[in-house]
Amino acid sequence: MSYYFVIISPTDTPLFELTFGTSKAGGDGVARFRNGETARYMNQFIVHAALDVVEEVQWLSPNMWLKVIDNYAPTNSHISCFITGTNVRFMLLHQPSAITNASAGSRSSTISSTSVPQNPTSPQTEEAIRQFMTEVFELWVKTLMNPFYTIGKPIKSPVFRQRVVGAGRKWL
Amino acid sequence: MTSPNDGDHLQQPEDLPSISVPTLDLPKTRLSTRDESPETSSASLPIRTSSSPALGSHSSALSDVLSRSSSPNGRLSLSFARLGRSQVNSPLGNPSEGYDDTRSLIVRAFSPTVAIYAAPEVDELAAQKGLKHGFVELLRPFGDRISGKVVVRDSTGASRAWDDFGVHFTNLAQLTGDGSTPMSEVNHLERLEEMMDYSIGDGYNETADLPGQGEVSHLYKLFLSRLLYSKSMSPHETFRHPVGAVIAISSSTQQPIDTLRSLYQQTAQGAQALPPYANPEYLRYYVLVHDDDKDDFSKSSALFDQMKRHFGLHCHLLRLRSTSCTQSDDDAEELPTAEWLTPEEQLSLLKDTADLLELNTATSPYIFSSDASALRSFVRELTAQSIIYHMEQRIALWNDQVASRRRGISGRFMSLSKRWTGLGGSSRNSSSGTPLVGSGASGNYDSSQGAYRWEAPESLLRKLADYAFMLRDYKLAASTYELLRTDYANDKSWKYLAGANEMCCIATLLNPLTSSGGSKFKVETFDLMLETASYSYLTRCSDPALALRALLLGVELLKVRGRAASEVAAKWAIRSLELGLVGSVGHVLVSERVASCFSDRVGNSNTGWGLRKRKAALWSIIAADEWMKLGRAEIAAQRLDEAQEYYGETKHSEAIKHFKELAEYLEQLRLAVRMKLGEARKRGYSGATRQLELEDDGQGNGEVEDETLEEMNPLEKLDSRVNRMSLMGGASGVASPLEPVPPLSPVRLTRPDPLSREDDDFE
Repeated sequence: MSYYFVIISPTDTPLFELTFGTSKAGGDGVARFRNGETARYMNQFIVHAALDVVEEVQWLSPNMWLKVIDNYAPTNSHISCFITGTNVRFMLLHQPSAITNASAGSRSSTISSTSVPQNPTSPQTEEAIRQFMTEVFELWVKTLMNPFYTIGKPIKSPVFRQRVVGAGRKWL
Repeated sequence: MTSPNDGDHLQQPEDLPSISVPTLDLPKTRLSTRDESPETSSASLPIRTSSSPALGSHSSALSDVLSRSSSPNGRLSLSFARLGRSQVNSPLGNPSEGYDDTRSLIVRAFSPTVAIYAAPEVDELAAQKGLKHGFVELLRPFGDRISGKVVVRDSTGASRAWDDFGVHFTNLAQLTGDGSTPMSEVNHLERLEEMMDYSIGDGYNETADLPGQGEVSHLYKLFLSRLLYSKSMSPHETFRHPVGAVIAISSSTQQPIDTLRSLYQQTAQGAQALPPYANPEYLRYYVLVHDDDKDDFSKSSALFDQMKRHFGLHCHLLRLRSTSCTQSDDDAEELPTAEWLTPEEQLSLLKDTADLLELNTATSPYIFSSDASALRSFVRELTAQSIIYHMEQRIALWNDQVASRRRGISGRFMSLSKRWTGLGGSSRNSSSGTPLVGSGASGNYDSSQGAYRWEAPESLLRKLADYAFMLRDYKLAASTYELLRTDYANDKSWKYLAGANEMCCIATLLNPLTSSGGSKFKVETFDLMLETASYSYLTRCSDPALALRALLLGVELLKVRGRAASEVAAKWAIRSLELGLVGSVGHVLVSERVASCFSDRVGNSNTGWGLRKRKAALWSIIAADEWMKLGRAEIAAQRLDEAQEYYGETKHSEAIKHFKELAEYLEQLRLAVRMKLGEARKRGYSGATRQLELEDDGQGNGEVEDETLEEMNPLEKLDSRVNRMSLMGGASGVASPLEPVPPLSPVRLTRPDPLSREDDDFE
């Protein structure tokens, strides 16, 4: 599974972007989107388009964790969203790996179909993403408390980035 | 409606000068808004300000003065007024008309089929008029739209008048031939793709209006109409089974009555008999074609009386002239092109007429207007008095004998008992004789042939539903399809099941009385029906053309049915892309439809919630990208503008620029489109309208290139403008004013500064 994580400000601008791959089941943490080179901007497009759905769904659920809210069928991408109190949205696009290729074939026997890298809609994946989102939310709150950070500006702190990468490695 | 520019625009020679001025300046204004270059728009202004108000005031003054007199001047002003009105509403429809357009296209695609079986003499007569395919070709264009209103009575006895009713004429031999070898259907999608390839490539109609936002593009309409029209008969639906057959002889036929009889015999039992799944009890209509140029009318008239005595009321005497007609003749009229063609026919037509198009001559033969009016009245009489009457009778009969028995209490009990205990076994007419107790199958389905025989109640019901559908009695049709769905599911007759689901969905949606707000309107049912239809067509019957048809029809009709429905429509449109049902051209056309599905979605009352503008923009950009790949920059530019508009409608329209890669990509795409457009314009490549615009520019090629250059390096924009100013100042100061402004190239951009300074020094 490949991930594209972005924090979107209340004015729809990106504050923090991160692309990474799965680290579970022998993954090396490198994103391999099936649409190759175009993924760089297509992921942004897809996530941005998903804001339409967020704006609708956020009023229907009492939770901050909105689960999988949208999908983009042509690349089989799913988008999960976590919304914070100030209408800052954590969007995670997750795309299962295309086909288990020959090298992964030997390993695939040990991976059950419900494991995180395989099935984007299974409860396990959903739970993993929720954990990830919660951890990132804590990191986010701590960043907000940083006196050197201006609210509404992109987050440049390398420590924050490192910690989000860590959370990704831990949960996804 | 769309009939004139729907099928015709491929064949129309590009004789722009003959088109009057108002149609010309419409695309121009459209283009100028897109380019946003002040030159183009202002250049087109002087012409209008100088000409049209003068004309208008002149004519209105004239009409004021002469309104009471009946002098020709008064008529002149009237024609001016009419011109003005047609200019306002003819080429550009209202955005809201988009749905009506597609709806009418869909409705007319499912018109009754009338087979033609003509004696060789009649075909010869048509051949003398320059029609290769005989009498059918002569008759076909007139069936597309029957002149005048056609009154249809529905099952409850209420009558409605339709003014866009039509029938499809086909050769009977073609129907029976294709029925046995259902092989052309396989290539239907490939042919369609080939045809669409042509129509965006060589045959691209530069003069056609680019549709505005919300309108359906003519390319998509072409795609849909060609997809909807299939030529061959299929067991599972009866739209292409003949409702009636026209048996025609000519006045030069020897032994006319015997010939008619033998022709009839052939349609009943002979070579032209229908396959066992098609109902052979269709209407026979006898036509005597009288040759006005050669034969004696009194003889024909006597023969016609004799025909009426033998064959009853369904007879017609058609008077045609056999000599061929040329354009220069007094009452010549161009034979219109048939609106409904299969992709193959369209391709072969294009091949045939390619040479003629180059010579800029008319592509279809001319006929005498007396012939045209005779044909028109013949088709009207045939349809209004015989075909529709016949269908109404059949509907009443089957509704009474087959359907009502099923709908009643006992019918329900029977089907129940059949399903659970097999008690209804005695009532089955088990032709195959396989014991299917408990499975609920009626046993009428012949699974080896994949068809029911025509006299099986399932077949009759389907025919009843199709007849009702074709006569636009959607309520009856939908309820009958509903009955059939369960029957077919029990019999596991997959193709029939898919067809019944598809048509049930469409008939319910076409019914204007189905209110989308009502409690009965559940989007999930349509979702389910489309799911069943597409799955059965595609996976169980491997018929992608029909699957695509079902999906696109569902999409078109669902997308105007409120919020949830438009979501489902978009979902199915995307699904059809995913399933790989469409080729590259089809892909981009369907992408456009996805965008329009999302953009049509209405929000929650007056808040912006529930809108899908960003998604619409995304799909517009995808479509633009694909149009660029197909080499149609002008359409791509339009899609990009649309996307821009959609983004503008969101709350934070500028936010998109903060996504770095995305913004870069968008900028590149925009630039590519502009470059291509500029190039095309520079070469005078893309048709007469643009050439005209170029001339109006008065600036020449340098300006266009300059524009794209400025786009290319926005940082240098200021510099270059300064450079240009100084350069122009220098040129006007020193050299003769005739010296053209040199086209700016990046190489030269750096140099002019010292040059102009030199000039200044020189002065």
